[in-house]
Amino acid sequence: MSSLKATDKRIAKRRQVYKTILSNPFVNEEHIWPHVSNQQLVIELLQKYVLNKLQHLIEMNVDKSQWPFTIMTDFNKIYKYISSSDLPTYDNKMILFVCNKDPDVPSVMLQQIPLLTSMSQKEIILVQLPKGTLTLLQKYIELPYGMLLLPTNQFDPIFVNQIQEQVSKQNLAWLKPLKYKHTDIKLVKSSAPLITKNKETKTKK
Amino acid sequence: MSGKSAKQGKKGPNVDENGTIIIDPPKSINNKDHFHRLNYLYQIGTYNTLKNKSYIGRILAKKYVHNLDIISKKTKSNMLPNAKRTICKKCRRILIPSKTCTLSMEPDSPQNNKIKKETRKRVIKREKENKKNSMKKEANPNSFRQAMDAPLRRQNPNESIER
Repeated sequence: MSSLKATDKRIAKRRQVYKTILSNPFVNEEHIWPHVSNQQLVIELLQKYVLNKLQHLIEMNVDKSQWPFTIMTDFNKIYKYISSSDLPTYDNKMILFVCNKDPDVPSVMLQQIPLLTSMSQKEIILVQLPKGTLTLLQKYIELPYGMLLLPTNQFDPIFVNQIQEQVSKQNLAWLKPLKYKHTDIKLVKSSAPLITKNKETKTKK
Repeated sequence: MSGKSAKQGKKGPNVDENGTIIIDPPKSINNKDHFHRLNYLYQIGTYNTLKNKSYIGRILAKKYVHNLDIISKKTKSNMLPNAKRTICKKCRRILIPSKTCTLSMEPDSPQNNKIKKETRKRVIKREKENKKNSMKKEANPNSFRQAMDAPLRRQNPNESIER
């Protein structure tokens, strides 16, 4: 004897439906972020050259203004710095670490970041960090937006060079010679209710 | 045996655990032309915002994107939210950071995730309003010269005519 619930589930109430949807011809998120070849090494470097120093400074209760290097974590400040060319510059070359794979950081907020860095007049090395790095970074510093901008001239050149070696160059081909791209239509799987004749008559009654 | 299997196949559709009839994805897509049209309009809109820096080019870009929006609504052909987010809801421009829009996070709202996307036009409009107010306030003769200089400080005269 099967339960009433099981028998109820056997009777189909909905049917699978495929809805067509147009994909963006340009913004393909898989290719828009530059590839990092050895992510573990990048985290180790970050910990060795930046986070350990930060921890030491915090333990010594050194005021933020007296730190030997400047770091930016605020979204608005980072955006302003990258987009404008008039602001006082620490250095034209910067490294931007982004925790784009962590669920705590909203993807909508980071959607335009790769475009922004590629269009910026400054040289910015965009580094995407693997999943789970946000919790690691937050042990040392408060990262409300999952972004960390570091000027390269205030850090060890070995650190900068090694990170640059690990990150491939950003290639947004569609920004330069714009070519027509074919339509990319995708199917979204969803379900729609089945309306039977008996039910219709019941509702009419 | 073959008859039995055929009968089993005819018995009923493949039903899921949740009571949904599972159907294979369609081999052909209906109304493909609409999607081709939308795709073309999106791309030509982006091209004009990026490459065509003239006043007419910018208007053209907006018009193409406006058409895209109307066609997608009338034909009920949807776009991915990822693509939709690159279009301004108010002025129908393709949003390219530091070129056509500025992004800003509202203060103290990382939990709320409120992101302001402002197109250049709106920022300019606000600036203009501020200038008007300042002109009204600075009616005394000492500030006359400053008020006269105000319109000259405008970087691109085309941007003010845009609307």
